[in-house]
Amino acid sequence: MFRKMLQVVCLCAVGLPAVARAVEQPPFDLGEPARIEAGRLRFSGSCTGYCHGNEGRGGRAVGFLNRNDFDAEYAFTTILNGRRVSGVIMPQWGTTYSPDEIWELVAYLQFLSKKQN
Amino acid sequence: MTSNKTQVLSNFAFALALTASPLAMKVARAETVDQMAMASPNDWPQYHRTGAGWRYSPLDQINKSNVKNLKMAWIAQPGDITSGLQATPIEVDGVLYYIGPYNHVYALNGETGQILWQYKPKLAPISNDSFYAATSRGVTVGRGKVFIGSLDGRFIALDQKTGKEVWSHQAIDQKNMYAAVFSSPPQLAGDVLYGGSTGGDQPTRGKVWAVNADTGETAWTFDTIVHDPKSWPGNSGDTGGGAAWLPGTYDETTDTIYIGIGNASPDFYGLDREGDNKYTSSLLAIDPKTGKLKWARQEIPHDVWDYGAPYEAVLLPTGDQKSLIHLNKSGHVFVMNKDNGDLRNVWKLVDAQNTIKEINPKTGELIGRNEPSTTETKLLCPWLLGGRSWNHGAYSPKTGLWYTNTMEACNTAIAKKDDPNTLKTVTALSLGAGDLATVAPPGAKPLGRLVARDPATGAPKWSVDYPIPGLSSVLATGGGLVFNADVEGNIFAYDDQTGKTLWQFNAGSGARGGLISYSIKGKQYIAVPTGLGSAAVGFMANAFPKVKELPAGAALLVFSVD
Repeated sequence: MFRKMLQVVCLCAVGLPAVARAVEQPPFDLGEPARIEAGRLRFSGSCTGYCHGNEGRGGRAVGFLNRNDFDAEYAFTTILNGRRVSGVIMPQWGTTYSPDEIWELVAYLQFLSKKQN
Repeated sequence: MTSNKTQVLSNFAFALALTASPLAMKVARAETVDQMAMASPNDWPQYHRTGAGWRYSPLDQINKSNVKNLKMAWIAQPGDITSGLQATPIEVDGVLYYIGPYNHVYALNGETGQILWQYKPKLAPISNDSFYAATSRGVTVGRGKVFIGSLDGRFIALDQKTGKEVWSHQAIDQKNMYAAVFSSPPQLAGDVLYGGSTGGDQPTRGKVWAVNADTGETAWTFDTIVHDPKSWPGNSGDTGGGAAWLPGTYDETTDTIYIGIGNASPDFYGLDREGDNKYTSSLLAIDPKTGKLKWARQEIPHDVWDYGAPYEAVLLPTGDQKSLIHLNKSGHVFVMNKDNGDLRNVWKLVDAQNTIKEINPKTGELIGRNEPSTTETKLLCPWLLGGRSWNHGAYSPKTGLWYTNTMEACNTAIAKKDDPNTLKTVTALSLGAGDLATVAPPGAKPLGRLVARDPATGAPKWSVDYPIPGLSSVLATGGGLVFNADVEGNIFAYDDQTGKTLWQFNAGSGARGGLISYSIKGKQYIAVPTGLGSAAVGFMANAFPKVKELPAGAALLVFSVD
């Protein structure tokens, strides 16, 4: 389940665009099938083949299946701001997708986290 | 291989002329492929060592009998492991030049690894969002300068002695070109510096940019996408791809640039671009002074498999010294006349091949096209990474063999029109596919294979299987050795005649860059860029799950024998 606290995220890392937004609760129920499907389509177009793998199976970046450590707010923030870890770059999507569009991706990731391989 | 006495004496005279004076390099111009390929035997002055594209070092101090004693001389670390180390270093006159993540350039003492100078450009923030962020395949050294192609779309010239910036030229408009970057070093052709950008998988129109190497002023710009409605209906050419993203080569014997052009975009969806889509998936010969086309051979017309042809042109010293071999991602190797592109042969590099049944070796016609479908997911072989990825092969004039990594793997795909929403970001790839997953060849294990083949006929001599395809560029040497490194970090020295492993070393992280050799004060070194990072690894993960566990890194390892 996701926490309901308000968090302010400020990105100060050198070289990354300065995107600071309040991470609120998701504006809709992340379990809504229509939202999950919207997220799935967006994911398949932007996130799969070369990074997170087909249907989130994992690639040079993490997979999302069968994850009991899934955290919706962390997922939102990471998609918003991107991240750099272990020599691999995830670009930021905050300047491309609206918060709603990012939450739809989060809905899909939460759906995947409950799926077995 | 040249066989007559006159040629041998001519080569000897040429080599003597080169060593006679430090200025001789500028004056003496090779007249044959053989002369060009054997020049500067102690150095690695260009990306493939010379314009012949051999990645062959004539040095033989390290050889079959003593390579078992090869040991570390020194290590250089760029200090950042993002995207690993994908460069081929350059060595000239005892100084080794290489480029690490985020275009950080180092000049090192080639004997000790001591840093002589370093340069780090201030990159425009938009470059962070590029799909190709962080990496570069090398630098170019010449005319007293060190040249780079930057991640923010510039050609930059540095003073060779100090590393200070001499000039900077903004070639690419990144905002309007999906943050296309220079992922390869621009190359020299006389006083012209030229190169292409990334972008074949993005809705862009490919170009080759050329500037005056001494001033950075624009010399010419070449559009790789022709303006011909039969070739590109409607506006399809504007998003046609055709990126020349690997270094071209300069043939000083005829004053010609050879440069390969990448795939058509969207990669798997060709319905909006019915036509031959010139000059995607082609090899071009260009006049360096004018940027005019001398000849072009489109190897894969109307490419719908991501079978680009940006790969290296290798010039053969055999026969009339006019044969050029050129591999594209379809896994077919083209043999042509380098003066006019006339076809001499086509041969198959890999077994996993079901997209193009065959290519007529006389006409180049594609026979039996198995194209992606918009209604069903198909299995396509070789996969979108190619029968070989961009990591280059090596040719040895001693054995007459071409050594290259190859890949036996496939991908599924259904052709799908890209949702314009997914193309809003500069990071976006315009692949035109759904159900894209890398998989094993039918009835076979996916694997990598280092092969030794006759370059003109494709006749196999030996091969070594790898559980995961090797992603490093091969090195062949006069000591009878072939060096290759795998994605797990193992570096191998093989007997060039038999493929027997004569030495190996574990570097701890895999190799994506180019192995080179050079000699200083009579001592030969083998330099191996290690540190795995690559867009390829992400695509490979479904067919080769182990790549997910491979550690990243970045370290330039240099070996010698006591």
